[in-house]
Amino acid sequence: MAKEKPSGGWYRLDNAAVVYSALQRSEYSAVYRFSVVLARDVDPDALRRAVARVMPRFPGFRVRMRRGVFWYYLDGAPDFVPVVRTDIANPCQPVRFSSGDELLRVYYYRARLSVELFHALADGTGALVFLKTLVAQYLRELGHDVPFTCGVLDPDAPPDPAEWEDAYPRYATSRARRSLGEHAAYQYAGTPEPFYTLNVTMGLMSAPRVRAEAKKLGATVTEYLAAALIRALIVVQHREGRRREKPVALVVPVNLRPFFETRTLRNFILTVRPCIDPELGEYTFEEIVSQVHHYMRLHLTRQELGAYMTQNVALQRSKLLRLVPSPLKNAAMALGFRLVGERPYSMTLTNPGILTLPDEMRPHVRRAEMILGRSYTGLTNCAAITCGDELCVSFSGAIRETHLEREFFCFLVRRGIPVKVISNRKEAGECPTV
Amino acid sequence: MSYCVNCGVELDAAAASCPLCGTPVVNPRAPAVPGAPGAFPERRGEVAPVDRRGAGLTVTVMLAAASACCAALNRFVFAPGVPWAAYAVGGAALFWVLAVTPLLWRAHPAWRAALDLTAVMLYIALVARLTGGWDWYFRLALPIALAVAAAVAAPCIVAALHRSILTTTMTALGALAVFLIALEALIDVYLRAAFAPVWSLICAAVALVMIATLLVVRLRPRLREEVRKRFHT
Repeated sequence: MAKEKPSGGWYRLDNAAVVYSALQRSEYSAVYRFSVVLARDVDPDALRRAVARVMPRFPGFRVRMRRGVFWYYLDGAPDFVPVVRTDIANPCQPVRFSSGDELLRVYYYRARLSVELFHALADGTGALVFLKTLVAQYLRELGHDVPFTCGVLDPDAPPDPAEWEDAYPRYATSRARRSLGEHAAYQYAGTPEPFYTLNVTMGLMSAPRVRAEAKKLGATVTEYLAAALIRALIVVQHREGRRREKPVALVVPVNLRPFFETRTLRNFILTVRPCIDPELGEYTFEEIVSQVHHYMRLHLTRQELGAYMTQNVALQRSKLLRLVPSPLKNAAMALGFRLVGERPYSMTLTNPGILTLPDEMRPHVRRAEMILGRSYTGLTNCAAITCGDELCVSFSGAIRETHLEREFFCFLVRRGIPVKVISNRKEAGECPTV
Repeated sequence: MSYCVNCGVELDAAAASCPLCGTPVVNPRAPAVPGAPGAFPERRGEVAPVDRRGAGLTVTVMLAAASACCAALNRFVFAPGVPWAAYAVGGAALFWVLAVTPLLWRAHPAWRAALDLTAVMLYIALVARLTGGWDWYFRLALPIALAVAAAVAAPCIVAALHRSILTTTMTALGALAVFLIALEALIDVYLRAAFAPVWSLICAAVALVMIATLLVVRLRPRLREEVRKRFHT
């Protein structure tokens, strides 16, 4: 695709945004949420002032989705300021482009301050920068002094064009191409909930404790959580009594910034697919951790990630495909994703890591939370985020049963990691006793 | 603080039961407070559905204007004695039912299919009326349209009942076979007043062979797995 032209007040979609925009439906929400739980209840007036103050610093978020003839695009909306609303029980509601729905939403409930983003705008890294800047400005509105460090941006500074770069084409230069053509994986499913429901179950635990447990096994926190989730999926699948068990595979988004230099706040991620095939035999938890760890070390290389990027961007660079009208392209992408795109994955696990805050903000922020919207078939997704000494792991989906969540959290408890569970469920689904 | 005796996890102070297994919280020292605010809000939010009525009304006005123009031209300018505008107005009405009513009216697919079928039949009836062809309409067009509707409806109903792809395909093939026999019968009776099936039987035989093959695959799990493996995408 041609070079970015931010001066024109509109943005081409980046590679990931093209996919998320094409997939967006009522039954698929490419919306995710970051929250911080503050030490005191949120003051909505101060929050409104803070939102209005920081939005000019983020021109890439002051946009609306528009349908072009050949591609969707993000049209500049210089006056857009998201409405600050009281929170809802079913977060991450899908976006409907035609109704001019907001791609960025701000909510508050008691001490929780939440930001929801449509994934076409930014990945987790960009969203966290926005959240940190917003919370810092909110605290300033309340009279606290917060410096512009640890990724907190100065809302009065002019926007930096480098922050709105589409970094994919710059690094999609590999001669080789790679794609994730993998076999079908086990799909965790259950009784679907009524439309507009998103069940959220969060486990709060000590981050140093989990880190120490992971370190004992020579793994990172993400690898440890991925292994625990794969183990839980294997157990749940085994309980279903299948004649032939399918591989259990996670889709784990990877932040590309440590591998490729860029300051962009827009999407710059790829995914990897740690996988365990139960048909090969029983795996101990330690073996699963080892498999996941070595898979990550082996495949997270600059060269391999570049080849994946080249493959993905090739579709956008194809002159023939670029001339196909957008409704056809979007329908084909949505159908392809529905039929084969999700099949290789059991569910998503994302861990944007540690929310680092300036020392002045730490006493005011108790923890951070992250929630993913619902997918087509993998109806439950998992997200983790750490703030201070608290790690929050959330499961979100539209399934009545809680087998997976229970298996995951009970396993951590058995490993000696105390877990506190909170949920928006009205009643728990039926669960077998362990 | 309370813990679930079944799961071993700590629970929220406002929780009356464990969100993982539903076990009630029974802690005399820290009873759950009814009505206490929970960790999440109670109010549900809904994204407003896309309003397509504007587009529907715009197309309606355009079609109505085009129809009125055709009718006026037919009446006062071009060939007033030949009702050619009726075809255009009828076509516009048919297009309106097929394309615009979905924008204005949210209905069950079955109702929509019935409405579409009725609209098509009415348009063909208009053609029959204008050409004096009620004979072919009742003996050929109407039965064929109903047969097409039945042949399409059968696999759709099976698919809506969440049957397997194999079952749905078998139903579609069976419906196709029956439809082709009915089609040849209707044509034969209309043209020669006698039913002498030839090509439809050949097609039906092929369909039956395919149905039998799929049935075997459907009933034999190992074969089904083998086919899935060979044809996996």
